[in-house]
Amino acid sequence: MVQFIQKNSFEATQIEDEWIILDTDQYTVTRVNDLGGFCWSKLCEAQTVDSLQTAIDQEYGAECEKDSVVKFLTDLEKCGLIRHAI
Amino acid sequence: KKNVKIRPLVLSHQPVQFETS
Repeated sequence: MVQFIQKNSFEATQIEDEWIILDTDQYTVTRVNDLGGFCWSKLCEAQTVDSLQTAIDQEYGAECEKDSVVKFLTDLEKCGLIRHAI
Repeated sequence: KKNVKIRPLVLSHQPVQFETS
């Protein structure tokens, strides 16, 4: 099972129902929604799609489709914020 | 509550604009 983890150290700030992630190496700003921020905070440790899905279910008590978690992780990877954990 | 579907989203991603100007 592929695991993902945050690439570097980032500054993340929650503003209302959004999270702002500042990449101090690449000088980029990434905005994610509240659930995205929750996933981001979990990604300081290695996570799989399933482990994130379980964490979301436990935290929010709501259904989160696996595809949307995969899409979110793919987007974060494209933004250069996460990498595969080895 | 189980019927509520939520999804994590990347809303935007952009480089920081520096002020020299």
